[in-house]
Amino acid sequence: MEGMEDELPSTKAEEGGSSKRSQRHQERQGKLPRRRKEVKRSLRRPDCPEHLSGGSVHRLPEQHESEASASTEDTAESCPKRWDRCRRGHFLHGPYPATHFGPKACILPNPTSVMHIQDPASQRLTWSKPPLNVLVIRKIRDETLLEPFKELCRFLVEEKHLMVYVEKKVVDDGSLMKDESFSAIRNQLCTFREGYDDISDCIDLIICLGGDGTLLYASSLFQGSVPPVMAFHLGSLGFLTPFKFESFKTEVDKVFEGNAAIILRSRLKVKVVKGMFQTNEQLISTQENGIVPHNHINNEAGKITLQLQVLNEVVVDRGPSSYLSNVDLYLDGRLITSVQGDGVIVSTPTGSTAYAAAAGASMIHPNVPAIMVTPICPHSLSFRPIVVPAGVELMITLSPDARNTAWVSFDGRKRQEIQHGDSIKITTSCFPVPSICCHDLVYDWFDSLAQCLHWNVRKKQTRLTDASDSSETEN
Amino acid sequence: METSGESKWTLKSDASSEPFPKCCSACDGSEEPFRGKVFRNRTKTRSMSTPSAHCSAKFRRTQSLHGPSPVTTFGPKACMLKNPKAVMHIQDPASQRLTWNKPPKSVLIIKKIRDASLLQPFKDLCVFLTQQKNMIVYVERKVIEDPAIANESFVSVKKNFCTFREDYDDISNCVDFIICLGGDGTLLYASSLFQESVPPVMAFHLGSLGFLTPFNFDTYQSQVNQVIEGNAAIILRSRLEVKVVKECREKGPVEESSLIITNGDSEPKHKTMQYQVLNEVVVDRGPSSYLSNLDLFLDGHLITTVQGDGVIVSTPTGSTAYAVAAGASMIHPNVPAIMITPICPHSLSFRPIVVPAGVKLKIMLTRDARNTAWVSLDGRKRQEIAYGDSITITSSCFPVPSICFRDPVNDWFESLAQCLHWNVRKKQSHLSSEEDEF
Repeated sequence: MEGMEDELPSTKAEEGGSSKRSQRHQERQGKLPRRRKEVKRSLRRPDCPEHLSGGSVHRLPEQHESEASASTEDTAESCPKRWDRCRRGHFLHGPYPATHFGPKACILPNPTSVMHIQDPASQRLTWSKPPLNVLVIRKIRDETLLEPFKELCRFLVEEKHLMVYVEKKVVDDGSLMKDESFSAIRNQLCTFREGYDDISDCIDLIICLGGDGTLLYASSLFQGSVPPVMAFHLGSLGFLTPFKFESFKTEVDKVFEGNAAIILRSRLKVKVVKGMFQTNEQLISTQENGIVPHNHINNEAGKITLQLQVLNEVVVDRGPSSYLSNVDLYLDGRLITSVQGDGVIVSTPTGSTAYAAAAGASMIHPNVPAIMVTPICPHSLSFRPIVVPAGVELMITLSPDARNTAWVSFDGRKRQEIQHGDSIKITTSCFPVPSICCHDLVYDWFDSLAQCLHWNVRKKQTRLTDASDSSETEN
Repeated sequence: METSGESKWTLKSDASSEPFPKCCSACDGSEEPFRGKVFRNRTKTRSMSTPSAHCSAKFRRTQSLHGPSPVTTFGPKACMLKNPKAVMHIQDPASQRLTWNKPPKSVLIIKKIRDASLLQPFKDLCVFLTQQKNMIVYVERKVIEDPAIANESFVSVKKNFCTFREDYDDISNCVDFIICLGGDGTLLYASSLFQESVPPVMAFHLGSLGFLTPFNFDTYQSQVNQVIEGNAAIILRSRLEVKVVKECREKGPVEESSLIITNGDSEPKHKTMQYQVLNEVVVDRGPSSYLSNLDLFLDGHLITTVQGDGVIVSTPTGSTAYAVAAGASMIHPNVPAIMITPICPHSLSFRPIVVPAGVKLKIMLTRDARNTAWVSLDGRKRQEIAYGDSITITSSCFPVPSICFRDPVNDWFESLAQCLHWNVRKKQSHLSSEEDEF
């Protein structure tokens, strides 16, 4: 049963040749001739899913053309190049899986459920028109940020001739008002009041100064499409703040040129629905066959009282009560578990290094499309955090037997109480936060792990000087 | 997105109660154009038709597993640069279905050896497949040579078998699908037999539910019939492609059942062996008492050094195996990721991490390491790693297509509850009277 060596492009061909050579080499050494396992390589290219790109494929919303993307060739035609890249595992989501399994089985082509995703490692920003309006977010109550803030505003207003928006509280800061040299610039700033003015359509670019919280604040201001965010750290590197402020002028110029690498930090779309979540007993009479899955939600005429986009996590906890919180967790309509303890965190990969890390979760790279569910101090010996695919719908409600209410908070804000019958629904949002990267899209994250969390930093074990001396006890 | 009547949350359209306008076509439900249209074989996600058809309709997925396509315009002036050469077309995992180009004729049966309770089920299955379905059955020679099998009634059936010997015969192009009996290990064995394209796998548990064995053997006949008909839901369990590159120091026995790749030299300085791994790659300190000391590289950058018992690099499938014992979170098999978990790290701050599936990892001994390390792949093929050797790990193009019982999400949570008793505890009771707090 010898396999055949088929004609294959580039890389595999040499490997095939060598394997035959080594086989002959082995046999010459006098081993018993036996049938070596020669692997037959499939003629079909598993990485060229032409059948997927036919038919009525859902395309992303109309985008502006730019010179750089002038080539309008269909992706199927660029197949050979993509295949090469795939063999190197270049796509960040992993290579195309082979769609033929053995000689006779394959995946049923279904063009209507194919998604087209730009490989995260090659995502670049481009401007359809030059940006004019910049929002500057500065952490308040931090004296060290005053000078940098003034320098930045001066640069943006006087050298780049941009319209700079700042929150009213930032501009009304006492120390800023006292600085007379700044007053000319100050008068040219546009101000808005958080919670009153909606600037979501007016901003082309966001610049954040000083800390991860500024990015969370930026995210909260934009409940739909978010303009690109450039986040600077002053002092030590943050998780969400990759740029060093010292070189801000060159960095800002580069971003204006276009072609900056961006990482799309996914957010969660959260809805709080009040009232009318019905339990099993209430539903029996409405069922035709009487067989209803445990606590299945079937009818709900609740009112959506709050809908938010969340960048880090949604936390449901016991609030000021001393009782264990008792919440039920549903995934795609199916009850998967009950959380008894202090609460539960549903977070994005970005949020996996925030509260969830404190609760014992693993840390997820922001490019992994997933949602993380982590319990907070669960009263259980077996509640390990889980990572689920990004497309699921989660729902959290109070257990019918719960002794108290629960409290929910969104990125640490908008804290409110959850009663019996209320539910919190969570899915992945289609509006990510586009964060501009400083160096390398994939590798930047590890830098911040090391700097911010001192991930696996320890004193390194020294080498043994004399390898034959096994009585070394020092470590 | 709750815009059509098929949503589980509401029976009527929810559009009027949406406080936020739908500002882009991506979020008004148009990303699921198939809803409401009759496309080929409008099916429920449950691949097996069950009596409770009403229930399965309610469990139908209403959105993709991968999450919505992100909107690529950011504010009024910025958008993503289109790069058609770097676009991936991903079939949504929730709607992946198996289909046959030609009717399957040959089936490989993998049975756990040294388990007497499997003998009768195995025989029943063989009789069913050869006599009723007219299929050719492949079994490993050791299985058929088991004396417990050779009784009168079975001898006639044995004539229709093809046997093969592990590590000797290559059956990778002869088998149309695989049936596994009795335990997760049988699936790992199936994966090791197919170092490239893997035929669809149907795995039965006898006794309790396993992680990789979703089918109950009691109803095997109808289950197998339905799979042969086609349109079963499948989950593509990603594998890791592992290359162990060793400097040639001495001539040793050559490894079987692996690809041997040389770089063209007649006396190669490096020997590379390539494997496909379904669960995990473990690098540990072996029999030595010293800490292992390993450098971990990602896409060419050194990200950390592991000092301790070792490190596990696993697939999502493997995240519920050794990695869970080492303290990792559990990842659903449809999340495209690779998990890196340290084993007893001598560090207070080494949390497991989850990285995107497309990265290239490399593990090598550090210069200062006091001893060698040992690598094992899915618990087998254990070999020593010395300074200068390296282990390269990426995601493989060849997943293991496992046929689902219901659908990828349901099956996984069932197995978490049954196998690991995930978060099973005595439930706190309700307070009967509100006044009486103590």
